[in-house]
Amino acid sequence: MFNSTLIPLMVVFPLIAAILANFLHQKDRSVKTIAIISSIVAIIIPLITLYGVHLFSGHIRTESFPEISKLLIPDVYMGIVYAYGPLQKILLALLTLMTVFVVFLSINRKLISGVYVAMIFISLASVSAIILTDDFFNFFVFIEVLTVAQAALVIAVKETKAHKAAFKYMIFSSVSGGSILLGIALLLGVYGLLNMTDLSNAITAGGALKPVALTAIALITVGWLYESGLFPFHIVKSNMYENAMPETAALLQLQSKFILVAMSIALLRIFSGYALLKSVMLGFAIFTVVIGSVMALQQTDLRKLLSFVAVGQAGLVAMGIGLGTSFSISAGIFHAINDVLSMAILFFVAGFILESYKTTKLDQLGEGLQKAPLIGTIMFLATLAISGVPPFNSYQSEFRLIQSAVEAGYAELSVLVILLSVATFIAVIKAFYMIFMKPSTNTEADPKVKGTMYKTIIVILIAMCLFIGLFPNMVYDPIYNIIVSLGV
Amino acid sequence: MEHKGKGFGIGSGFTSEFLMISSILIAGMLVLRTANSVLFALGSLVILAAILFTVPTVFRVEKENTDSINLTSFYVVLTIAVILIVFFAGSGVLI
Amino acid sequence: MDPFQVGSFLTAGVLIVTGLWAIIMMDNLLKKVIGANLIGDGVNLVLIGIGYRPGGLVPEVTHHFHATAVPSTFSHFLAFNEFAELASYPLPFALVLTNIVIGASTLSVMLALSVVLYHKYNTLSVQKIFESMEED
Repeated sequence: MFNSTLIPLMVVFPLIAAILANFLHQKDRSVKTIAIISSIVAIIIPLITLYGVHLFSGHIRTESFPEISKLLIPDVYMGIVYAYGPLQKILLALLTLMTVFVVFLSINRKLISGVYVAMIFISLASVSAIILTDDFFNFFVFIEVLTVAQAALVIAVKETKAHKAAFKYMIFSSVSGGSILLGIALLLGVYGLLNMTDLSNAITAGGALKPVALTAIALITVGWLYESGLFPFHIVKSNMYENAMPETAALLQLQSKFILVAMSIALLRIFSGYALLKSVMLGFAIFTVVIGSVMALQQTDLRKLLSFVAVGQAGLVAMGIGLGTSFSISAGIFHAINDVLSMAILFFVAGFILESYKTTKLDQLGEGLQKAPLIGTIMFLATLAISGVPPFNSYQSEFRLIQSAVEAGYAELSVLVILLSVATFIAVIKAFYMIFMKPSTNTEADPKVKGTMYKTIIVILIAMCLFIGLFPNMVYDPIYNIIVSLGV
Repeated sequence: MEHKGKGFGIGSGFTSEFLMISSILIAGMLVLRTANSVLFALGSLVILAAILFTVPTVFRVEKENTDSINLTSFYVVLTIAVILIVFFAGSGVLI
Repeated sequence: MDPFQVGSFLTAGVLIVTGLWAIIMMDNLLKKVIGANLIGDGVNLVLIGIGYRPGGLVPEVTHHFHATAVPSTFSHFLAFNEFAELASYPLPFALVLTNIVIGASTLSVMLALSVVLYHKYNTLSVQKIFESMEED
């Protein structure tokens, strides 16, 4: 009974913290205290909760009276259901850990306005709900809440470029949010159900899909493209990452990748017999991978380069999920987990560069190793980590991706994955050279910026990358078991 | 942007060009592989020749990916239409 | 299907297509925002139209339906089967209410951004705000 209360607490507690922080706006010391305490409590809750299911308002699974209601299945859930399993635990632990890091770095940077901290916690609550929920409309509501919170985090930068990026983001979120809700409405009209487990049973029992249900799949797929940042929405998402504060951009890209994973699993569970969905996912993923890495190679600004690398890696995760076999889906999810760690290190390094040099243009930087040798070394290790060099974690996940692509019959895709790794390596090592090793520089470093918080956090993250790279089965085996048991 | 003429810019440009060409070739091969093998071989050669005539491709790709709202809207509508057509045509409901 | 339901779905389709057209084709910033709101309105109409039942009851059980109530003109509705067969679908109302609130909050953020962009650029034209190449 107590454990069942802890599951919605993972969503409710950050919301309460956000309301408190917003209420105490302009009282900086109270906001700082609330932020630190709430983020540490938010990390503890997923670790102490046991696996289980929470039924809101106690509505249990009941009989559906199929003769009267014309539902296709005999038992339905009557309320909203939250399910907590090993996959949710891994994702939520990583999400809350990264939120702690971002909160500490934002406090370090004196960005402790109550509204900013509130938006970080609202985005944490939304992504937690998206990962936990089993109800489709609840999923949609928290996607829309997350959109507003992320736009607010970008608007807080107070530059015109950031305002324009947030405006574009909100316009396209209306299109895609309307698309998702229209798909949910059509599914409700055809099957009369909103719970994802019940929908998957009903669609399996219902035989061939009617045209209305096909339209629903198409519309929800468009919404999936937007939430994950795949083509054609990769521009909008990379614009958001580029214009936010770099620490916040690390959080934004993590949230996008985890929503990609959660929404893909939901889609594949509901429309499980439908092979065309996986082919469409795969096609858009390949497109995003290519365009993301080609654009990343052409950039001359560090944050823009990193945002395109993040978009390309999201495409790689989607490629793993689009290939369709249990092996490839679990490889894709494993790659998402590995990739957010290495991208976070790179974004935090960009945050340090921004704070000490006041610019991130690669032309104007140089000789960084003399000022910050530890950060330069760790950026080099993170470059190795993100390109799939052993013994780091992305090597394990990209190796499994390549193996699963060959086993699924698409050997050419393994060539593409290898090309993408090489391209990512070249793009990021170019940035590393121009920041840390290039002989001349046009800007002076700010001597007051020590960066101890940055150094501590990225040392912790690179140690995690190394640990997962040396012992991958600790993270990979639970994921594989869950995907096999889901039967997607 | 002045560094694009120097060493790093040229290296990145060549890498992205090579990546673009090989990706188009791989995508074409993936689609044509399901047809018969003559079409596969001839089609790959045609794609390769077509790309080599339009080199450099990467600058066109970069211009198509600027963050202008009109360009993104065009691609969004194109994507919605393509997805709807693919789902309807693939399921055999309409023709 | 009932002609009223078909009519409401067609109206919703017109609203959604109009909203999409406004987002893509209109040059004015505020017209794009209005288009985004129209899409939400169209989807709300689809949701309500799904719950429509011609001649249906409001799906609430009032004291008229209670077993020990004074016999009234509503007494023949006491059986649950009859009530379930005649009531209209209660779920879409809740979904639409939530969606209206979501639409209002996203509209407010978009309008605030339009105000800020207008103050900076003194024009509402998307061409001038978004397409001009800035040296940053």
